[in-house]
Amino acid sequence: MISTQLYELTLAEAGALIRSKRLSPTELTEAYIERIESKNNHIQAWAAVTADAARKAALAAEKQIMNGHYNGPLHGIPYGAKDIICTEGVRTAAGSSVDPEYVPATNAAVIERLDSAGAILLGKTTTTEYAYQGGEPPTRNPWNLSHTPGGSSSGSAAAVAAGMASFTLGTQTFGSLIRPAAYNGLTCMKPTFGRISRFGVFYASWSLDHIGTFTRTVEDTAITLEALAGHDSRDPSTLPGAAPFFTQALDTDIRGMVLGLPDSFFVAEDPAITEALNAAIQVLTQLGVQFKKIKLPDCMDEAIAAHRMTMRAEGAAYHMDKYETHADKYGPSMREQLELGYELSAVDYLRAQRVRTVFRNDMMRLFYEVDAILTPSTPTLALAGYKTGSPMFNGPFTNAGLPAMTVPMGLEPSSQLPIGMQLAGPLLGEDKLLAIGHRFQQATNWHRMTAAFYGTK
Amino acid sequence: MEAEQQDEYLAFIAQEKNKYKDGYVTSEERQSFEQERLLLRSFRLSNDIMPISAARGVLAR
Repeated sequence: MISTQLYELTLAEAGALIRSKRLSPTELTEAYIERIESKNNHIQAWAAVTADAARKAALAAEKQIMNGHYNGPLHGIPYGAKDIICTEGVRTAAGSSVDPEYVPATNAAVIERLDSAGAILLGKTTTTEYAYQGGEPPTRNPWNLSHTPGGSSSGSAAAVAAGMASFTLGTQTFGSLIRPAAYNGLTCMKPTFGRISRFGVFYASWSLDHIGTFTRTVEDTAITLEALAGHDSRDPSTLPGAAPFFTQALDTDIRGMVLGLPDSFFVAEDPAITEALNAAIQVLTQLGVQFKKIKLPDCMDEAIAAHRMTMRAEGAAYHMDKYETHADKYGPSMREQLELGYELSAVDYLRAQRVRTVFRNDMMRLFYEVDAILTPSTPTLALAGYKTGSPMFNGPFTNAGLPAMTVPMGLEPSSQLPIGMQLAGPLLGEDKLLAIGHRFQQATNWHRMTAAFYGTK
Repeated sequence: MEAEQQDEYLAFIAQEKNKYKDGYVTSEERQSFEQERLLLRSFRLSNDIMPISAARGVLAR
């Protein structure tokens, strides 16, 4: 007998019930579709809902499972995909008026992988225009409806926080996974650059784009990462060889691990965030983790400049053909960045890439002395209004291609907005972040908290 | 979307659009672009440093 609402189950809990045939994919999918029908009017997290196709896929999954063909922990689990991820036969407009009726003929690699694992697509979630800053969607933060859910993966974060999907896919070019996840009280990892294929996803920047999932627990993050990671010849940036079994990292002993605390840059503007971080440090200390102050690279400002220049140049190059014929259809904020991208010389672009090499090497050297780095996930709480907030605390790890994860670590009482802690690791070091995050969630209840809105029918 | 929420959102979109009434690039973003380019050009780099796409990989210790 299940006492909680089905939409309240974590992915792992729902998966275990489906595996033991105590829950059917159809029941679970219907629960999420009902939730979308009753809540999306307030949250505006979905660009398109594919309810009929989801029902059909759920029925097929149910038959497979009843016939003894259980396919793993994602079999029969409903999810959403950011609307820059191509879905066969389903409109993929990327939050833009440039090609609003575009219907891809094929699926992105991540959709293929989730299909193979038996997961069920519920629909497409809102995004800023082509996942850039600007062109914000009307999506609201379920924790406080007058605030932003963050972006660019606005709808993916809000959908999970509002109980409208078990998990969702998002992307990060600066801070578009970690920031919205933190603003919505979710757990999310931006893995090492190249872990997950970007084939079939609209690029914001070839050398900066990462894919990740919005989930409610570290365990769920590990399950989805395990399903999505791996080499794909259609995305030459993907890492060679087989991906690790990330779920095996969850029970790694973290006693004696050393976490680095940066001496600068990651200073939160909101005192509630600093208080929450200090409390998290106390919890981690009790779990046997040690702390060490670390000095960040001297070239932080240059690295940010290089990051921004790279986005402008690569974005302009990617959109060049469409921009020649449809410039007036791009939103003003994105158009501004593309125009600046066209002004940038090849020499300046290459200089930015060389600065990134220096920065990346300096960042990687930090992990000679610590296992991971601990910072707040964001400088502020989710802002009131529609601007999606600052990605500055997430940019360094995106720029360097190093893994980073956010885990809920507090709640600001007056606004009822969640606070996230960011763990960043060495190249290919997702296992350490999963282990630390999982132990933290075993010792705290922040990830179990839900918005007041969440419990409403 | 509720009517009040829709009005707020449309007002936000209009406000954003208004920032660009004098051109495709605002003066603030132009200034930021110029400063960032100058910062990158004045950063000292050894000739052995390659662009990141060519230099990816695990560091030799």
